[in-house]
Amino acid sequence: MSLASPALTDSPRTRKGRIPGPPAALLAICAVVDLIVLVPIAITVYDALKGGVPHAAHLLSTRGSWTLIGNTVGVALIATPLCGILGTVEAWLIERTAIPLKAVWSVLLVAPLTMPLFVTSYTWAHLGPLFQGEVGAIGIIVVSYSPLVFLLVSAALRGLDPALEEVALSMGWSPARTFLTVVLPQLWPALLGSMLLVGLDALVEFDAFVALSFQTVSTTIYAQYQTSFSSSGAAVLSTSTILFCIILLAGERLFRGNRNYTRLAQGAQRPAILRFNARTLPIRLGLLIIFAGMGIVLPLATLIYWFTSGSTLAFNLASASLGSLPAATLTSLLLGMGTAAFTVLLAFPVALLITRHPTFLANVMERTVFLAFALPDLVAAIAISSGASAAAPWLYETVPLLIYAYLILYLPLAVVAIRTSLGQIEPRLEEVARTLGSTPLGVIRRIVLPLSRPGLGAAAVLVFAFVLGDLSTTQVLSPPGMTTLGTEFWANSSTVAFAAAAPFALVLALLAGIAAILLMRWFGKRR
Amino acid sequence: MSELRCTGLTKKFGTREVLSSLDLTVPNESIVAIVGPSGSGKTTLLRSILGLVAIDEGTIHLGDRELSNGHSRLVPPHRRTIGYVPQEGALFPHLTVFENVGFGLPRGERKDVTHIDRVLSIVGLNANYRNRKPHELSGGEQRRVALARALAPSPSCVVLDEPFTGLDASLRQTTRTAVAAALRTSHATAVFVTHDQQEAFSLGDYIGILRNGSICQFGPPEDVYREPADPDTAQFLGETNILSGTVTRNHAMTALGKLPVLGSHDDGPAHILIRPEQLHLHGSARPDDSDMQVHGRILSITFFGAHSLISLAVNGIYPKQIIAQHQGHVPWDEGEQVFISLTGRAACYPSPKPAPADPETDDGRTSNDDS
Repeated sequence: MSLASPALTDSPRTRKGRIPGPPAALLAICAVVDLIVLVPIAITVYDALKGGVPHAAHLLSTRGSWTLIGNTVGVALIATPLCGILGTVEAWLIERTAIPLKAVWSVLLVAPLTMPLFVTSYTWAHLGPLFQGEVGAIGIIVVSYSPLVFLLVSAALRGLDPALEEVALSMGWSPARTFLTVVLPQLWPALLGSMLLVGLDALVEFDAFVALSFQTVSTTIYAQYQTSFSSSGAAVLSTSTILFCIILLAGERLFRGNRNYTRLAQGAQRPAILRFNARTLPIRLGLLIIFAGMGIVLPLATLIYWFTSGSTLAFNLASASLGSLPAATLTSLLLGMGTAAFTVLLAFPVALLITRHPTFLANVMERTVFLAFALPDLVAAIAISSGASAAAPWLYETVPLLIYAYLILYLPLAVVAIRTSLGQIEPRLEEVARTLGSTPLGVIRRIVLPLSRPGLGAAAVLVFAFVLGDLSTTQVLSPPGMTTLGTEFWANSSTVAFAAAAPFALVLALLAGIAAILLMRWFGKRR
Repeated sequence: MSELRCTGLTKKFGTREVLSSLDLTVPNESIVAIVGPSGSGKTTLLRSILGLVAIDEGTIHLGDRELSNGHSRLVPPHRRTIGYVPQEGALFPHLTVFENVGFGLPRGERKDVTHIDRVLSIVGLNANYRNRKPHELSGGEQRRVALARALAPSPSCVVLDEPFTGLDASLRQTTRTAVAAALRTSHATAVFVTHDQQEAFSLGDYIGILRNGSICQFGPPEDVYREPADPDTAQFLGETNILSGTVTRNHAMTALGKLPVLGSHDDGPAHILIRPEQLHLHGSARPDDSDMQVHGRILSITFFGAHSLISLAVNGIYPKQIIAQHQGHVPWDEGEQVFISLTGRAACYPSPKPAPADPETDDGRTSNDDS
């Protein structure tokens, strides 16, 4: 029924007398957000071209660069579709089949996303050579980012009218055929949107690849930065990732075509029929055990093993690091919460623009936000710090600057989470509120904000978890002497005594667990 | 409350003209039912009145106030003071019934228990409903709360979009009665759209027939039913027999017999409209009847409860079937011969060409959902 709803035929693209075109104020706010995001990108591109285009081209054309770019793009190209498949399978298992302890499984499946990647990858690296190099790099991306696909696709699955599937099944189609021909096309927007995020992330992943000794553009940038402190070579390399990012953004848009993810179907008054088939239960449970095992049980078990692995030396080291634990925990919490608050504040107008006024301009403005996602964390950090030291020395190595860097890096995650929940609000509710005398701003305050609260919460939790899981940005930009859980983990894990790093990792894992539970609670809510 | 006046409304979506020079006047304190088949522009008309859609040409006035004209939307939706009862109610899911009804009131009055309770009682709900959430209400209760919410700020006019769609038969009846009473009590100028003719007849003071984006007939329900503007409208409004015949001195001659004509018509060939309830069936010819007696063979009987519809094959008209309505028990079986007599008056339309399609296939029932 929602396919034929007047709200869809009344799309601003076909409307001649386009009235609810984007209000100027909203456009202005989003333009400011875009500018905020574009600053480090502009600095990077400027740095790259500073030495002249031929110089930049020369840097890019060396054999080494091509290997690096090949590695980077290769991992993204292989890992992204795998993430899409894995996340969709997970979503289907949880939303459409009978599985005992669903809530627990959901949290376990989401947890790898909130778990800091450097912790997961570090534990993997110590499992043996199989987990290192290319295979490990692809594996870690798949395990850690498929929850993103799982979250968004299961939200879409819940919004889907189960009657469509029931009709297909009643015609004698197998569940697999039904899923491929009836369900999948409708999940496409959510699936593509989440795969876009995964692809962008994979392009610029740094911490995990360092731990797994896999060389990509980002890790090389770090090496160059450490040896020469010349940002020019780094800038040239990262310009290449920005280019790939633009290709991905445009490609996703092209692939998606006219299918709109901004207004999800409003349906599913009743839960979808759960096809219970006891014979396949072991297979389904087995899949879930493997998924959850790789992403969360394995790292956790390793951590606990480190922590408790007998020797008094290890125990002493672990207790020694307990001293700095409270301060680091508090800093991480405050940074995470502060960033989450600011990011949600800036992401909301962008999500509002793209869901309520999906014009061409709105699309461009929304996509601009994603550009910064393609900037390797480190490059963004370097750009910001060099920009700050040149233009605003008083900001250099301060907390506000650090939060600014986090903000532009994680804004896209918040936009996606909020966009999804805004899309689930029935347009008619906002129209009724208007006819009852609410101004456009009043509608946002009294209808949109209360109804999108779960999405706002989910966005905040996602950003919080990513801030906790960040290492490189923090290392470049944090004020001297400031320690976070991440930096302490890193400092201690690079020594021989892993036990000293374990307490920090455990606190991180605990926070990640809480984040995963909150995320499932708010984003995975069944209507 | 005030008069609502639309003149020359035109609205295009892309190249498709959804409203074309539509004129409509809703008199002060009256209820107008806009009825039309799916895709006739009903919802667009309502949304234009509400200011949720910008019209391309024409004007909308409420009393002396100009709300819209073709060049701009003069008054935004929130300043129009037009209440809106959307399809399915669309209650705010995060608010209680009390908060829903109070939503449109000025800030200071949103907690005014007396006022909100009074509005709730107008729609037939008591104070016990105050703290319920929308999902705890039945479909009919949701519609009533939606109406209460629209009426609470004392709007100048109320528009209702398919207010009873999706309710089951008994709930539909009680909700309809409650809504009608509430609209009367609050002296509302109201426009509602529906694709259900019965609903339009029973609730509207006036009926407007919307077809191809403009109002093709407007008037009191009975007039519109008895004398539709054209055969198509007649068929849309209910089962109809349309026969070819001739008009002579204000009498219509058809194969079924002779009937006085409604209004005055020039003599000549015509399409003649006879409603099924104007046909009476008898087991035998009545000797005292001086009128021409026609007989037909019963093809099928469709049972509707209080009445049945009987389709007949009549010499001179067959293969076209004649539909007659019979109250109560039908004493005949399919295949039997019955005699037919006519009562009332017939609406006639000059016929340049032969009568339109078979009433069996072109009856007035539209089962489609709207919009």
